[in-house]
Amino acid sequence: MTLALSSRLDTGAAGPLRQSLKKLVEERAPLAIDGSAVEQIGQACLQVLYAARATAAEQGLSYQLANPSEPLVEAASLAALAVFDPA
Amino acid sequence: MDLDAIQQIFFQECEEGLAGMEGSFAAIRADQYDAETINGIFRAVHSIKGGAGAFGHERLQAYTHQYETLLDLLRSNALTLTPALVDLIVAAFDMLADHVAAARDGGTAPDDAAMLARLIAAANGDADAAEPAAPVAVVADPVAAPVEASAGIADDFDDLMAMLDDVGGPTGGGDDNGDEAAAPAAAEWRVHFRPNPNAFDNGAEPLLLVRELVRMGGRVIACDTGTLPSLTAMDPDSSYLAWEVAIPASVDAEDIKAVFEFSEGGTVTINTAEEPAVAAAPVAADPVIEAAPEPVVPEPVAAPAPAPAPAPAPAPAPVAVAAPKPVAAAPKPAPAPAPAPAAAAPVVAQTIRVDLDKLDRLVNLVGELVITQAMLAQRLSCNDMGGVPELTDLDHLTRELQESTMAIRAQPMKTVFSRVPRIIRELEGETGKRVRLEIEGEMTEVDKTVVERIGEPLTHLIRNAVDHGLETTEERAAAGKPSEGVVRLSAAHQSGRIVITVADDGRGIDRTRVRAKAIERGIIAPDAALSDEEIDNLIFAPGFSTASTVSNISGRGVGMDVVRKNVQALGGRIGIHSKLGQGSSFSLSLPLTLAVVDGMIVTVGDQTYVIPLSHIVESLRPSDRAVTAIGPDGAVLDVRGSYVPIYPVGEQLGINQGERDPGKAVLIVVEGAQGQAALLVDTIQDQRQVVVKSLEANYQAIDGLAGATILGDGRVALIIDVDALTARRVRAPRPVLAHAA
Repeated sequence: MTLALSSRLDTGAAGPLRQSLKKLVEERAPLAIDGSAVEQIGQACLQVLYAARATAAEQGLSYQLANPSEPLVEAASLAALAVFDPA
Repeated sequence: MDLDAIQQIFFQECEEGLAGMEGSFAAIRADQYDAETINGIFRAVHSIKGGAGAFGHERLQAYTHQYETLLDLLRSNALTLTPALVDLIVAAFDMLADHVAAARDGGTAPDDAAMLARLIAAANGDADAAEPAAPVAVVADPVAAPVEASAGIADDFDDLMAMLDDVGGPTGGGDDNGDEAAAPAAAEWRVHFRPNPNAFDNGAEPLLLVRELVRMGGRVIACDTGTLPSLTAMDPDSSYLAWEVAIPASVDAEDIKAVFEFSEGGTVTINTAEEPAVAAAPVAADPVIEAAPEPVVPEPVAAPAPAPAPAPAPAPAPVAVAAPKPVAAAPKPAPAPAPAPAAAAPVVAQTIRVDLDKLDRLVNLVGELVITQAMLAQRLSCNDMGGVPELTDLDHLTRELQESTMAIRAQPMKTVFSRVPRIIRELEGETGKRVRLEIEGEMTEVDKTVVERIGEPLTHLIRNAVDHGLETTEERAAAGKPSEGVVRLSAAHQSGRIVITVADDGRGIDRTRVRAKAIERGIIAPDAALSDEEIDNLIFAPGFSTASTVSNISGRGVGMDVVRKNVQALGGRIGIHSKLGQGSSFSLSLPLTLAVVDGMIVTVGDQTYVIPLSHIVESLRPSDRAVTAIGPDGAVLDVRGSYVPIYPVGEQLGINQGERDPGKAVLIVVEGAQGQAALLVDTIQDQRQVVVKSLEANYQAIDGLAGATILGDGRVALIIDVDALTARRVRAPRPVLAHAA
C-alpha cells in the first residue's frame, strides 16, 4: 500500500502526516510513499519525513519516497534533507 | 603505508569519482542540475588527473587534462552546456573509465586521439566538435598537454600527502577546488541558523529564510538533524533542524543579518570561513574562525552555537557577527602544504577505510559469539534457568551486535547500478534502439558479497531487456508506443530480502514462440501441458534462446540459465512477470547477507541437518495415497496434482539409520535448480537463523553440502545444498525406497 502525500504539506499537515507514517511503522508495513501530488511542503513535514526515514532504518522497515514532484525535490534539496531513499 | 597501497586508494577513489560522475550525468540529462553538479564532475576529473600525475600514468593524465579543460570552461560558464556537449562529455567519460581501468590493470590505454581532438575543438568553442568527426585535428596539442599537466603534479602532491596522513575519507574527490580556480573564493561567510523549537508558531516557515540565503548566493552545506527525535517521540509542531549555509564574502554581512530580522527567533551565528567548501564537514565540527562578537550579543558567543537552542527567548535572534577578515590576511590555501591536513581533519570522522580481512574477522567473531550465546542459553535452560532476564538481554545485545556488524559490510546498490548507464549507452550504440534508463532505490543496502556477485547476472538481464525485450524504434512506432524504450531498474528491501527488478516496456514474452522453440529444442514434449508461468520459466532452460539471429549481445542461448544459476548460488530466486506487447519484468529476490541463513533444523538418523529456508516451499506428512512408487528405487509425491520426486536425505548422504518410509517420515518440498523436489527427513526440530561456516575454508568442499553451523548444544550441523543434492540424484540415481507405497 502506498501512502500518497497530499498537495499542501504545511505545518498544519505535519501532525496528520506523522500519524499515518507512525501507523505504518506500528503495523511494520513498508513505508512506500508517493510524492507526485506535492505542490507545497514546509520544514515541519520535511522533518516528519526525515524522522520516518530514520525510524524505518532503525526498525528494519523499507522506506522509499517515490515520484517526488518538482516542488518536493526543490524543498528537500533546499533543506539539504535526504528524504527520498532509505537511510 | 607503501606507494602501492596509496595507489590502491587512488584507484578506489577513481571508482567513487566515476560513480559520482555517472550520477551527475543522470541529473544533467533529467535537466535537474546546477553549477555544483558541473563542479562535482570537474573536481572528480581533477582528482583523477592529480593522482594520475603522481603515479606516473601519463596517458591518463594527458587525457584528463583535456577533459578537465573543457569542464572548466563549462563550470565557469564560458561555454553553454548544449545537448551535443552533454553527449560529448558523457562519451569522454566512458573513455575516461577505460583509461582508469587500463592504468589500474596495467592494460593498454584506449586510442583516445579522436576523442582528444573533439575535446580540444569543443573547448575552442567549435560547436560541431560535439559530433564525432574525422580525426583531422589529432595533432592539435597532445604535446603540450603532458608538459602543462606535469605542473599539476606539484600541487596534487598535497592530496597525496593528505592521503598519507589520512587513510580515510573521500578527500581526493571532494574538497580540492582545483589549482587554477581557488583564488577568488578565498573567504566566505558561514551562517549557522537554528530556528527556535516554537518557530512554526503563527504560521512561520523557517525554510523561507534558508531560501532567502540561497537567493543571495548562499549554498546550504549541511542540515543538522542531530536533535530530531524518532517519529514516535517527535512533536510535529516543533522545529528540530539547523542549517549551515555558506555565502560568498561579497555579500554584505548586514544583508545577511537583515534576513533574520523579522524571524520568530532562533540562534544565528555568522562567521567567516577561509577554507571554502569543506562540503562534508559535519556542522558541529565546524572550525569556527575568529568570531568577534558584536555588542548586540547578550551572551558570550565563544561556544559555537549548535547546542540545543535556548528555547524560551522570544526576543529577536541574537546575531553574532564576525568582522570579515581582510582578504590579505587570509592565508591563501593553494600553495601552502599546511592547510591540507587541517582541512582533512573534520572529514576523518565521516568515513574510514578498513581492511576487508579485519572486517571479516569481526563478522566471524560475532558469529562465534552468537553460537556461544545459543550454547549458553541451552545450557541454562537445561538447568531450569532459561528465564533469567540477563539471558534475554544478552540475546538482544548479541542480535543487535550482529546486525550492526553486518551493517558495516552493507553497501548501497548504487555501486552496481552506477555501471548500468554505460552498459545501456553501449547497447544503444550496438542495437540502434533508444533506451531511457530509470533507476530507483539505488541507496538500498545489501551485503558486500551480494553486491559483488550480483553484477554479472544483472548485466545479463539488462542486455536481455534491451536486446530481446525492447522492440526496434520502427516496431515501437508501429505498435503506437513512444520511440524511446524504458528499462527500469529498482532495488528495495522486502521482508528481510532485497528484491532487484529489471523491467522493460517492450514486447513481452511471446509464449507461443517460446513453446514452439522449446519443443524444437527438445526441452519439452510436444504435448506437454504447461501453465503460462512454466512457459516463462523455459527461458531459463539450458540451451534455450528464441532470438532468431545470434547477436553479439545475446541470443547464444548461454545466459539466462547461467543467470538463474548465479542467482541461486546467492541463495536467491528469480521470477518473471510478462505481458505480451507491454513488457517483461524480472525480479531477483536475494538474501541480505550470506553469513547468516534462516534454516529449518531437521533430523536424519542420528544426525542434524539444516535446510535453507529460502528453498523450502512447504513441509508435510504425506498420506499413503500421495506417494507413488516409480520403478524399483524411486517414488514421487503428489502435491496437489503435480508429481515431485522424493529424495531421502539419509540415503543421499550415506546415513544408514535414516527413515526410508515416506509414510513415517516428513517430506519437505523444496524448490531447486531442477524444479521442485521433496526431501525425506525423520523429523523437524526447529526453525532458526544459523551462522554459516565455510566447509571449504575449514575442511574441504563436499558435494551436496553448502556449509556447516554450530548448534546451541555445541554440535556441528551440516547445511544442505539443495541444488547440488537434487542434481546429484539426477546424475547418479542410487537405490532404494524401502517401502514406497
